[in-house]
Amino acid sequence: MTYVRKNHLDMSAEEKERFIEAVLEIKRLGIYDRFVKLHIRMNSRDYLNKDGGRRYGHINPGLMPWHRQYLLEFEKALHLVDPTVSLPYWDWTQDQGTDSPLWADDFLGGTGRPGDFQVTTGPFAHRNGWVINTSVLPDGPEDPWLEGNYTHDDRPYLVRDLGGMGRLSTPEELQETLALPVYDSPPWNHTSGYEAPYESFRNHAEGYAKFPWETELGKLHGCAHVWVGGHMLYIGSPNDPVFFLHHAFVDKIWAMWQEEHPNVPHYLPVERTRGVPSLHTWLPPWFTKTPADLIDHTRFYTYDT
Amino acid sequence: MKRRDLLLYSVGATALISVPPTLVTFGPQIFGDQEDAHTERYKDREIRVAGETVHIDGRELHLMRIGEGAYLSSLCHYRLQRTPLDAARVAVDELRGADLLPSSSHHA
Repeated sequence: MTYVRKNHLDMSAEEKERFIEAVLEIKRLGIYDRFVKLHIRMNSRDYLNKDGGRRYGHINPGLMPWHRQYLLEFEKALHLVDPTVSLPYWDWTQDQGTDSPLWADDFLGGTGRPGDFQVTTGPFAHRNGWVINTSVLPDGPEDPWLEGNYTHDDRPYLVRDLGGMGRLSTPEELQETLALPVYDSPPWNHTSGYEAPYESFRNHAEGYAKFPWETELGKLHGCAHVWVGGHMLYIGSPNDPVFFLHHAFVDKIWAMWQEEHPNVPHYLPVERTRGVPSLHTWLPPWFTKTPADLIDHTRFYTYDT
Repeated sequence: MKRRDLLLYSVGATALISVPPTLVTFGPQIFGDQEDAHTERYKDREIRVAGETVHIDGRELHLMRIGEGAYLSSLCHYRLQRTPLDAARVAVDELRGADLLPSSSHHA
């Protein structure tokens, strides 16, 4: 059965409440932190291997399918505690205010207070019970992909600095990247699509490639991490639940791009390629789906627009 | 003492013991090449940069070189910095007085 992912701006008060309650419940059960650990582990490995080692989730074509499955698994965990919820998305090209309902007390809470930038409002404030786990040591004989770090510093509270650094990408900037007709290209990393004809929708969407008329790297996917700041800027970015609303929009961007380019391969590389997932590579740590299984999101859910 | 605490201690000790060999390894660069070796106090924290290894108050910062003049750290993972020293200063800014934790990945 498929379900709908909505813009958070179109959620009812009850939908918001149920979503927040489900997130808090999987945090209490320890499931949320396993997602944090997994992402940090994958992220570290991906970046260390960027020049040719094996990488799956970042700075390679796997960005889109790997995160699609990561969000699906997260949603599956939410469904264990409340089958009616689905991940909302945050369209940061339009919804750029620090006064957005996104940051209200009844949803994700606001920016950090002056000084230590600790979040003190909403359900993810430390004083309201949201604790960042600070272990950096493998803590058991589980699957090695799930062992490792939560964070790299000793703060037990969530940190945010909304709008303190950088700016969010515009709808025009998104359109320029959506117009690129090739999903990705060799060397399948952070240098793909650097030069005309910019053959890497993925790398421009991820934010490691820029057009000559852009002054700085870090647009689209990258800019929301920087703009929210605090944990969203750190390697432990999923510690801030806005991570999941942000990546739901990145996921929607892949769907929008496919719609704009119906007649090109929606994932590359098709053939087995050293270091990166090809169309038929099982994605770790789950080994239940390949990019080919994940290209069509409507098998699992649809977007409201 | 719990097993977890023991682990914490042993990793801490490994980190401390590993400092002199690190200095030895990067010795020629520290004493011979100004660009590759640097110690400074920044916002009351000690930053030490040797080549592409950064320590803040003796704890290693997880630093990744992503390209020519482009670095990411665990405290600034989504915005590129030009040099390891820039990344170290941003990390100090972001820590706002908090401490880095000993990292298991570099001492395994």
